[in-house]
Amino acid sequence: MRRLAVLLGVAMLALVASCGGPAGQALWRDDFETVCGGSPCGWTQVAGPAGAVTWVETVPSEHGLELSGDGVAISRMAPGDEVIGSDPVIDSAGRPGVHAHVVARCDPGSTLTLIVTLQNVAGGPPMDVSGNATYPSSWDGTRTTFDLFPTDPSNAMAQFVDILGVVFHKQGPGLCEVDYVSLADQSVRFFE
Amino acid sequence: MRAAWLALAMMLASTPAAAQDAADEGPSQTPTAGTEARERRHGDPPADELDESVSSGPTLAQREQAARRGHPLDRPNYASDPSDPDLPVAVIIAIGGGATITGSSFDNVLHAHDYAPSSGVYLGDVTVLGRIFDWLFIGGRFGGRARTFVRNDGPGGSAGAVDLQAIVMARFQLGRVIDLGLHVGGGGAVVGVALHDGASNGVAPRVTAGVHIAFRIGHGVRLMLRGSYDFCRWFAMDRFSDELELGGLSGAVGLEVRS
Repeated sequence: MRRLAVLLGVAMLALVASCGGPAGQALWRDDFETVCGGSPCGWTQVAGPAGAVTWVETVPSEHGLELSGDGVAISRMAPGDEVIGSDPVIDSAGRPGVHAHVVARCDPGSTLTLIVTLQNVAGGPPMDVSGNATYPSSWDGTRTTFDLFPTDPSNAMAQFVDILGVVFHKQGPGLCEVDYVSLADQSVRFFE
Repeated sequence: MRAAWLALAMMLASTPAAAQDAADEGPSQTPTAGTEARERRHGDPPADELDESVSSGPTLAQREQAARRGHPLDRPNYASDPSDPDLPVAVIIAIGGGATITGSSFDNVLHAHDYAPSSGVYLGDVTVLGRIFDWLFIGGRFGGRARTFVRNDGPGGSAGAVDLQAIVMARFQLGRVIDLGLHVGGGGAVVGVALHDGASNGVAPRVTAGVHIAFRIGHGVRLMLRGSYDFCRWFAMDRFSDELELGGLSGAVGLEVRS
């Protein structure tokens, strides 16, 4: 009888484990902790005056990007090194197919736009999705997540298979600090 | 006629020869009336002594203890350690844990950076005290305490402090086994936080106060339970003047050895 109970318990555990499916994983992320020649590895300033982007210690033992001034942009091309699978840019429920978690802060009056370039499953030119959020001016505990929408509405029905590039574009005076960025599809819900 | 024979016998007993015979037979076990003990003189024969192989049996204390065995009053001896005053140095080793009771701005920083800062604190210390009075000890404490931060997406981090404090402890014996004590202390700490490979360090003030109870478990050895409030806050730890809390309420179990 006791052995039967153990077998039933194991069977129940296996059943529960099989119902959840594989846990979702972020499509791509970067914590800016490695530096190459004074800049975070893989990142290149593509707009703004020279020296407007620096690698800083955001808080003790944590590092990130500091973007200073208006119109500064930094990019990292081809961040994804494997095929993701076909994910919709807009899913069947009408939700954006890519959303982001960005650890950042911005001085009042500054905004930070995230632009992600995706590879279309049908081939052809890459397509962009973008989004922005209101970031706190200090590390006050706010966790910022937001959705990315296609910049060209004609791509709303498309599907993507890879992330080709990521750009942070800053507008407004003052500075913004970016400590961490993570991109995920709808299978991952941040902080849930 | 009978009276004549009795008088003759008394005369013979009083002669020197009769006295010598009595001495040869050894000391009398029942001294007669009028005989008094005298000091031993040089030349007296040696007193009788028992051979070392001859046992006189259990001591009186042993016989009393054996008689009490099994009796309801047959309990261990909880008498206070009479040698305590001769053990002027107390060394206490303690480990424990607790929790911060006040938040700090760095907790918000950690939360913003996707960490889950636990309020749990782990601690350990070694205290060396010298007895000033029967109830008062003064000394120092070297210890450490730490917090850990789990990250939702990636490796976690930790923060810790290594501190040195002057300690004053008052100890009152409530019974044969139990001591109650109070302690206060102050000093400084080297604190640090490590979220990735590197670590940032600083200094912080330290204050401690609390109560403890100790149970004597052997000669000069006590098991101690301690409850404390600790102040250990790292001020202005970064360019935003954030603060990190490493103090709070804690409990510890310790072993006290006096020598």
